[in-house]
Amino acid sequence: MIVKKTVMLVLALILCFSLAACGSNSSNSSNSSNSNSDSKTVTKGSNDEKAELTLVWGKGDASDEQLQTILTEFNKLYPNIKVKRIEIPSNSWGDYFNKIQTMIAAGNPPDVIRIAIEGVQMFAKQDLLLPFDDYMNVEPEAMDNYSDLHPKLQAPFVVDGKTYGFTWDWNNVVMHFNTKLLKDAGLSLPDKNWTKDDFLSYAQKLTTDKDGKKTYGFAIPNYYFGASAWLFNNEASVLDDTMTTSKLDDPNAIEMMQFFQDLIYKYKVAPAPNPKDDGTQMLMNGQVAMMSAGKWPFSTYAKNNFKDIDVQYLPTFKTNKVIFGVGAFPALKTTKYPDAAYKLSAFLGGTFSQKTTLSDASIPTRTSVMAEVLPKTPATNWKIYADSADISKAVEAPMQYADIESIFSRYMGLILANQMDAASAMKKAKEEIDKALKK
Amino acid sequence: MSSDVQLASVYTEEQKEIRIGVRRRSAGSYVLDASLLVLSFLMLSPFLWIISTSLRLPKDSFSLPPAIFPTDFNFNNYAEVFNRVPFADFIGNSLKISLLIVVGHIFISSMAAFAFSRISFPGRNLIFIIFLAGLMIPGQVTIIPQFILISRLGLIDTHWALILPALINPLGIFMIRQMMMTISSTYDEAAYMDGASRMWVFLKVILPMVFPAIAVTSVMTFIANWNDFFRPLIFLNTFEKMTLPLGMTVLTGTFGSGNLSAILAGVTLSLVVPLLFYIFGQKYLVEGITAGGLKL
Amino acid sequence: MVASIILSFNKYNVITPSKFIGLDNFKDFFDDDRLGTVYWNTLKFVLILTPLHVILGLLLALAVQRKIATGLKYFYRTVFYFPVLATSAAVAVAWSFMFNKEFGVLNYFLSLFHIEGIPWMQSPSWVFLAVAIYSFWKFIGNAFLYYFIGLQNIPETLYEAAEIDGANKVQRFFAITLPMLSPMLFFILVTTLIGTTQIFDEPYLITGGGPGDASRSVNMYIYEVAFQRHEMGYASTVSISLFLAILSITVLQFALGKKWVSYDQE
Repeated sequence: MIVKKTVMLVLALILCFSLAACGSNSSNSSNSSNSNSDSKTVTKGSNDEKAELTLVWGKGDASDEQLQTILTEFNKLYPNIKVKRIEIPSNSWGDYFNKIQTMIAAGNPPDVIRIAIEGVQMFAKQDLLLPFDDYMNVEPEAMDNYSDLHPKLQAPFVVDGKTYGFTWDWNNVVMHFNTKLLKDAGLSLPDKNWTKDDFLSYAQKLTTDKDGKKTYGFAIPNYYFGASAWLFNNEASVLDDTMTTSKLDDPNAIEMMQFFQDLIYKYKVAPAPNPKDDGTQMLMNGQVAMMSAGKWPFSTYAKNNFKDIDVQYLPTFKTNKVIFGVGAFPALKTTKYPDAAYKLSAFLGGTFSQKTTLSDASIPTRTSVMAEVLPKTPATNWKIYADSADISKAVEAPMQYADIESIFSRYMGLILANQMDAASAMKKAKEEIDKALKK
Repeated sequence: MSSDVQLASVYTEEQKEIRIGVRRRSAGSYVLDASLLVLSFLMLSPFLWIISTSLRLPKDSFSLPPAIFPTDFNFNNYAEVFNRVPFADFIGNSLKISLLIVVGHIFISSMAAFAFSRISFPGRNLIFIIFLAGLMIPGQVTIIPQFILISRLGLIDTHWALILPALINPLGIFMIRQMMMTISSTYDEAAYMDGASRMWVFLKVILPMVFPAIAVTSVMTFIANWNDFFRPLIFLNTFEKMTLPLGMTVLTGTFGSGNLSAILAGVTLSLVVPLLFYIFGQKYLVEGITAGGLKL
Repeated sequence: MVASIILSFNKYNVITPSKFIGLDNFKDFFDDDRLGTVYWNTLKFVLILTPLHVILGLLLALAVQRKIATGLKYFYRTVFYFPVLATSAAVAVAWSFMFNKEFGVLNYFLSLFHIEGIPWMQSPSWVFLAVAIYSFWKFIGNAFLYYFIGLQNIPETLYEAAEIDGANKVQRFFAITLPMLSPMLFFILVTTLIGTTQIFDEPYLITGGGPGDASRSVNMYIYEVAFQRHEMGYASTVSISLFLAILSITVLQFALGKKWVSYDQE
């Protein structure tokens, strides 16, 4: 009885379905274009203009107290600009940018967003960001001495001659050591010129299995930024210099990825990555003795009162190029208060803000703040953070960054799970990335 | 059918078992008992591990042997959960959304079911069938147009994005209607004769009689929405608005943070509401399904 | 639904207005290598998880339905059913730590039995077992509860009569229990089938679809295309294909179901 009804229902459904299919050649395209009216004249805004801004910034970067401190200072200059923080949690930069794009698409865009270099092209090339140049000419004092920003670190935020942000924090990728485990293995911090062979011997000596407690020598950085750093050191990279095609099928890239795989399955000095792994936590727990990361883990070390830490440059393979990534606070073009957004963006990159938030986290980007803050780093070899700003090379992040990151991670996952050899995985990754770059 | 159930209950438990086929305790029966106990322990052990580990110091969270029974009593992890994320908001949001959906859904479904079973209007059956067809369309097919619609309405990142689409669910209408169909029309006729209004008949005559179907629909709707992960993932972006399931995945942290003991403290806390719900709701669930509200 | 179909003929990233591109999405559909993989994975999920719930749920219900103390029955019912209610994403997060190859609880206990280092998340075959274990733990209570209640509703008189006719245990099971339970069984079968065809939460939360694409379901792929790559048009194309797949399974189900499901109770 019921069955009969249901069959009828299915038939009815098929009918509806086929009807709909026939009537669907209505194209809802058209009316794009005509939105190119950027020719507003910028006049100097007064300091007590009223504005309400939404700022996307995670608590991991700035706690409630830190943000409060910054905003109190900000409001001394501009008493009527109210700032509301929202947090958008995510798994990766790509994921984070996608979520912001979703918010823009959904018609409730925030005003000022914390982004990293990975997203600059993605947002700028889609014409989503507000160029600050006019405001910079009219109100230069808001920038708190532009020339204090390290020029190399500020450069990524200038796209096609337009400035979209003021650099706030940066990171390179260096090796972090659990010094207690180093000592237990009778090792000392390696020399800055250490090589691939040195690294391998460290990793082997640091891999132990005592009283049922397993320790691995090294945790492989299975994320784009971390892995790119190692590729750079082997004269390889994900993309070519013009960022129009992928170079992952290059023998040097394949060699590097194969080395990662071998660290797990041939030398057995690294754990196979699991979906929820966290290198910082593993280093602190003594599950691994070495991992590679920027300076960001220091905030976690500080929170957990973890002191057995030191750092060194990544080992030299074919070369030694330090990678870097930077962050800033661009404003979205859709903001109702462009002038206020400019002021906030500039203030967050300013001296006060950097001193407040970057004492034990990422590296400040102002030369003056770097000189003040870095010596307090609880790692004896902190100098490598200061020294590498001049020599480092930016992480590769074209407009299609989010897609590329996800393709890269997928194939790196296959390599590290020993499901594909590096050569065939990288060849396929290159094909997919090239396809994505054409979009 | 209900008369059969009553008939069955006349038999003693003893006789019932004999009918079902276990005459005396055989060796196989003991093996089964033992396996059930082992299986129960296995089913419970993840909970034990979660609770025990949530009480360990973060640095010991991976220490071996893993804890099945607590070895430490370190409640700081629980404080950490509330410090790190707006955990109370997560629970509040989830409760608010789930309960609003249940209330709105029952309100709409019971009225629709009343219309489909009690009021005759032209094309009633056809409309009902089209409605039911909605059951067959998987949520994922409609999610994209739904997303576009919700974003045009400017409701992305609001709780309405989750509540509004969930209010109309053909399954609820179907279940309540099925039960209403079993009620003899003499009840309504008698009430109308007494001069009752349609609303009165609906509220005072029909609704109380379909209580089991309403209860089971409420319980199932609550469970489904409490556990919903996919739609919040798509519709919510900001921390403060997140539901508990979505917030839990955030607790594991973006790279650079994360601490197993604290995460498991969050998991433990997330079990409180379901536990309360089980204690108070299971009776209705069992009654509702037993009363035959759930037959396709 | 209709909107999905319209969208499938368009290129639309939500930010810029949509553009009619005719059949291009359908062309991409047949050129997409990953699509074959995700459909095959989804089929594997269906083939593993459906029997798991439909059969093991029944066995569990039969075992608990035997002559045991009422208190114990209540205990089992709670133990098997509670995970169904437990906040899904939260417990999935906990399970993903348990499946850790080097430092996970599961491999620790297995190592006590000299089973070493199972690559739960690294091997394309183990990853399905991991999802199956989680799915059993989390959802078996559902099927169990329906069967359990179904069993209690079978009138005693039937068994009595069968016994008088001299039917043995096995005969009684096939002659009475199974047919009487068939509506419940059918309900569980249909809901599990539809549910697993749309599987998303389990692989998303536990395996992340990995290694590579090894455990990525069609639905995860739709999510990726629509909400990460922002290709709404193509995502609609894929989702329509999934709809057609589900529709045909369901029609088949009902057609076959007619043969073996008895609604005598109505």
